Amino acid sequence: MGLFYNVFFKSIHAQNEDAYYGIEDGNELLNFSLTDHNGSDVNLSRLKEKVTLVTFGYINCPDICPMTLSILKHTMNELGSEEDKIQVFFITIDPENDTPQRLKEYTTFFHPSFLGLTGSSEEIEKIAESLKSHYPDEDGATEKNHLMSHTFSIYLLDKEARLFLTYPPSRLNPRAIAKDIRKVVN
Amino acid sequence: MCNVVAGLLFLVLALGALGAEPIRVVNPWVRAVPPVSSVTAVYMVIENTGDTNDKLIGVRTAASKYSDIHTTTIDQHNVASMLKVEYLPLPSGKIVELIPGGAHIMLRELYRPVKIGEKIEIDLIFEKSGTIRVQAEVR
Repeated sequence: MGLFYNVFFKSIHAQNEDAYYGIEDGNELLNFSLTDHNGSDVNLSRLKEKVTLVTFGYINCPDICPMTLSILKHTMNELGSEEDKIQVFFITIDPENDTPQRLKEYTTFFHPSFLGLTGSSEEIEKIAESLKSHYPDEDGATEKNHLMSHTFSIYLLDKEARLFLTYPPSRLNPRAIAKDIRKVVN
Repeated sequence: MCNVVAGLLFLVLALGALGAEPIRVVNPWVRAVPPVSSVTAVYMVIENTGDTNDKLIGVRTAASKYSDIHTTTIDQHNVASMLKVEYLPLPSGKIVELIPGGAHIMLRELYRPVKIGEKIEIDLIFEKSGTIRVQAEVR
């Protein structure tokens, strides 16, 4: 109940009108080389095309990943006609099992504009480190193992591709995230 | 006459007590996931209105090959980890919530994709209260 309460009630009421709901950062990202689910390259310069929301996960994740993508879907709904001003990236931490085609089927289920990203473990680790996202070194999410640990957060990157805001588990209210996005893009 | 009334009253109360289920399951639902995913989670609220502690010790459903009870914990670095547990304690007089990011039932190796709006039949097995069948809506 605590997490639910924080996400949907307490956090939004506590929000100062001028302050950002997300936790402010300013971390520069190291360059990286990933591929989106359509086969296009994604690197630091691609991130500068739009304000982006980034999250990590894997397809055979039953609880946290669908929850995070649902929150992002509701955030897009909150943005309404402004939803095309941002790009959501879902970066797999299980590149062996999450092929581009599977990532496409997975991410677009939540929203047609969401893009799944994959690449070598080294490149995924690079951007994860830049975003201070952690995932312990484990085997992939096989049929028998669906227990990959990973950071449960959403990251907002500005148009300079800097980590600008982080949304940890206690700050995942879609309306409040959408409000931050409007401040950043307008 | 008084004895007859008292006897009937006792009978009604006794039957009522027998019929009262100490475990109440409220709002069971299944997370809608894309067909490409073979796993999903089930959430609900379980209330133990009885005088004794109970436990959720198992889950059965025809929707998936495996159904496990899990908890998700989030550490100080916001790293979420899932842990399979043997049972979920249901203390007397308490409400236990299975919610996203917390305790949940994991359905592994779904036999077919789940569809939004459909209801999945799930048997919840309790240590003392036996089996309770619920219909969980896919949302």
